[in-house]
Amino acid sequence: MKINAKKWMAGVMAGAMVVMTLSGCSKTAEGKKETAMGRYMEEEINLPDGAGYLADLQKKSDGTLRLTSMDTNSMTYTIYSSDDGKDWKQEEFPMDVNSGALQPNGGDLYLNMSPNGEIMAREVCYDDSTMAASNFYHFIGMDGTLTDLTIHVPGKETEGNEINGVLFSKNGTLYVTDYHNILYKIDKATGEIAETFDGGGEEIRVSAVVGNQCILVTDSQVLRYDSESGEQIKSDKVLTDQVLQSMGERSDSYGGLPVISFTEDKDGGLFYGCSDGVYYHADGGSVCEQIIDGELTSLASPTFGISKMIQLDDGSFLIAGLENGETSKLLRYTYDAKTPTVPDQELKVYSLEDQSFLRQAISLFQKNHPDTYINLEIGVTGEDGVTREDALRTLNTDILAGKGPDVLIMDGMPINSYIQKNMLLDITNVVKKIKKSDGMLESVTDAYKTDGKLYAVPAKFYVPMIEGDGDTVTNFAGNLKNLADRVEALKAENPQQSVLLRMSAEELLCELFYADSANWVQKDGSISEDKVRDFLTQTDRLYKTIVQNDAENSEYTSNYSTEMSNTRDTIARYIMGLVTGEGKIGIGNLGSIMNFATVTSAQEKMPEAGLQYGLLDGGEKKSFVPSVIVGINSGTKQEKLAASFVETVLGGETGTQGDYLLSANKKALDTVKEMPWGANGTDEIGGMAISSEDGTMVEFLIKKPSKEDMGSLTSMLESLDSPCINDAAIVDPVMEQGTAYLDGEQSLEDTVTNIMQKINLYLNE
Amino acid sequence: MCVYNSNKRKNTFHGLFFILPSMVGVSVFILIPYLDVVRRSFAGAVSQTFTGVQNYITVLTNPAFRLACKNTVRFAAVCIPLLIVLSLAIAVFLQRQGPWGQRLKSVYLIPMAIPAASVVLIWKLVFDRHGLLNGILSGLHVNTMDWMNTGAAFWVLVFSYIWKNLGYDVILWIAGLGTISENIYEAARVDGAGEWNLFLRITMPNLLPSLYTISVLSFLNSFKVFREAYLVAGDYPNDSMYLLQHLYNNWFRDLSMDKMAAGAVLMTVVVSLLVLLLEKAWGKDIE
Repeated sequence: MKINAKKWMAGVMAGAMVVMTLSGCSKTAEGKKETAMGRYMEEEINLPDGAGYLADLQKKSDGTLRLTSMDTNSMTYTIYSSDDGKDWKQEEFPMDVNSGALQPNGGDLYLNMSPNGEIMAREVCYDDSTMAASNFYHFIGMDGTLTDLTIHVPGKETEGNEINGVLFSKNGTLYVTDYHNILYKIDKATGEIAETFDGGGEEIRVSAVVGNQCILVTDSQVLRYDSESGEQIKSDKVLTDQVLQSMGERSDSYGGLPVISFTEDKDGGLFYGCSDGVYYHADGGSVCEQIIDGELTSLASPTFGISKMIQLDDGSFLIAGLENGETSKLLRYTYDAKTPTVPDQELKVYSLEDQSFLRQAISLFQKNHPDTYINLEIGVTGEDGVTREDALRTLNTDILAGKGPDVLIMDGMPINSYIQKNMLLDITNVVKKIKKSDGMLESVTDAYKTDGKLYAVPAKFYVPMIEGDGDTVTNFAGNLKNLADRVEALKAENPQQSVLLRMSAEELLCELFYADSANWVQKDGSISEDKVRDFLTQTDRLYKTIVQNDAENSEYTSNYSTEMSNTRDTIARYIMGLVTGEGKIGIGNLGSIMNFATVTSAQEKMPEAGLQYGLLDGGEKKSFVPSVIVGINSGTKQEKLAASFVETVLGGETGTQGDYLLSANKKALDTVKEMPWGANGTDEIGGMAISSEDGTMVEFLIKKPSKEDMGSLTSMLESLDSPCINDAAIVDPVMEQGTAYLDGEQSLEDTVTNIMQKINLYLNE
Repeated sequence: MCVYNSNKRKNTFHGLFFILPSMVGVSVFILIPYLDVVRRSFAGAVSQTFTGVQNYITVLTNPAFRLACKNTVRFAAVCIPLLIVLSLAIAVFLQRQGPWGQRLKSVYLIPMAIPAASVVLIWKLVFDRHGLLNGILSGLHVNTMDWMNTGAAFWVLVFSYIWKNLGYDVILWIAGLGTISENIYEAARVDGAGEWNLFLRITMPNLLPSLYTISVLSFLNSFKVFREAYLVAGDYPNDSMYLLQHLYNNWFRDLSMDKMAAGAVLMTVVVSLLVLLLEKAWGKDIE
């Protein structure tokens, strides 16, 4: 009996183990799914005629809205008021703010109004030589009385600290912020500082006045003070954690606006808006609730910055902001109980690295497809130690398991291998459609053309460029040997003068690799050893001219990473060196028309240098660096939707966002050429003062390139014919071994052998 | 007779019942996936269309596969005999040290307890172009070299494998030595046998069962050295240390499931044959 009991027990246990093992493989019971309903829907509000830059958006004590704006053409201020933002009616300021009385020193004017109608006018004047700002303040009371105020913030005389923001509390108390984001309560009658709210020794990232609270966000805490008594309000860990998580590492958003914007709830709670969406936190509550998902709205667009947010009486939100740092937008978010909380459809997009161009495309697509949620997965975030290879293996596992993404952004991926394995859908028809409507740069779109079909198409690209004296650019930029000959000759003429600007061995290798590597590929797909040897030889000659009499350069390191495409747009920083006289020739990659303005502005700045620009060619081929290479996974079940997203990525609207990145879409390039660039409708983009090596400040005004320059850029872009090698398995050994060679750690032959051995292993696989 | 058969069948049934849980696990996680690998070896990478033996032809004519096979065989051929001989010598030495030897044997297990990440860090510190080893050589006015980017990388790999696995094999040998009765040695000594004869005529024959186990385990452990090699030198190390695992790893990254499946089947066949040969060669002695 005892034996039987033991047998039974053993049997039951063995059975239990089998059941437990198999239960891990079973599907979870699927209950009836209930769709959560209710979502804030975005709607763009048409601004009143003449409204340009939105200086302020307020809800008055009687519930009406007030919008203060500046006409960008006539530079005049106007106020509009309305019940709910639908119909705007013009109101009058208590005095004529556009008469010039508020700009006695001829500076730029910034206006802020208190809820009860008082106006703080800030006149900012810039020193012509140092570009340092000096502020003058004028206060206009409710009766229109003008008072000049003198406000001295600490550090004004010693470090040029100035006021950069003006805020009013709900009851009209005046606050200002300085360059360090320190908040000061100001006596409106005397201009004296009545109270200082600092970050307790920590750097302040955002400061705000919300209702009767002053809020300061530092790197580690959210400090709140009673705006009247100045007493600190008890710290709220839930709010702090969520706000810091939403801010991430960023200190400001596109256009220089704060990363987050606060507004109050009538029950004493706080709302804050950021690129993640809008969050609500009840005072002392245990959660910070996300009430608007930024990913489903324009808020997530990397080129949109929030300047002001308010909640209306019906619970909807108005958010004012800047698109591209210059175009004002007013968005309303209204709750719709009949719309699913999360869109019905989901499109998975995968990219190894985060790219602002892609985010812009997603934001645009999301706006036009409110029923679709774009689930963007980034493979290498830099936060978890996952490498490119790890990410690719995980992606491949998902693809093989049938859980792969619908759309792939294939920068850094083995594109040819994916094409050969029929892993990508033919998107020739999508490209044809855009070609017909917008026009496309064929040399760019056809970079990965296989058997007459397009499986992977770059949406944007970079071009290797050179700027220097006319002789160099015209006669010596055609191949690396000629360039090295020229640079050595110029160096020999004046050994004390730098010819190429200071750069590390890896930076120089990288810039020249993009210009030259297209020439290395032989007809059978192998890499020419002789070309690699020649590339290293010429690069070494150029590098020696940089380090020749610059002992410090051997110690020079930079944060440059060859893996991050966001750091490839390098030409502007070398052009700055030309302007300050630190070098005679600038080489680098051009990735945006905004940076092309830097190239042409340098010509205008230094007419005596006879600067010219052109493509930097390593040899016979005119190469470019493909980027945001988009394709559709052949395993997708949403082919039409994926194609529609690809159309947005390659479309003209995406290409005109942000810094006007070089897009393969011709219409985008043409639109950027024609549109005004400056915030006030002019072609001046901005100025900067650059410190030269001897410490003097050089003023550099950047203007939109002329029509001739734009035409010349178009011709250059249309002459491109070959993508550079963009495969990490080839780029990495060249960078790693080449750096060791340039730094004198190994011989040329050892370097070539090591590089070719690794490349051949890869190609043989 | 009938009773005997009935009991035997009953016992067989009970035995099957007890191995069922692990059998299910092995089937679900190893056997069935492996059958899928075999199927994939005759199919396209993603399309899964039947391609016959094309994948095998592709793999066998692939220069990277041939290089990886050559290196893997070379690595095993150099490392395993070296490891077995060294560990046996140390085990015999330690056993003769009495209690001291018993305490000392634990020390040999320390390398196994060190995490791979730490081992990799040490590798980098020692064998880097600017590492400790080159620093010492430079101090002695000896020419330095880039250890990880020359043929020396293979010997670095061999050294790492021996260092890591020596202790484990020593313990296995000591366990084997412990099973040999001291009486046999005493009897032989009485008959005038010397130490060398004792080792050759008594120790070695009695250790043959252990030799089989240790050889197979050492061979399987040799595949694990890839972890350190990959973490130190990445996807494409010096071609002297480019192993089959590097190739599979890179094929997986490139989604070359067809080549990977064919390569895996070929490798299984070769390893199985090798193990069977070993068993056959030493099987009689084991029994």
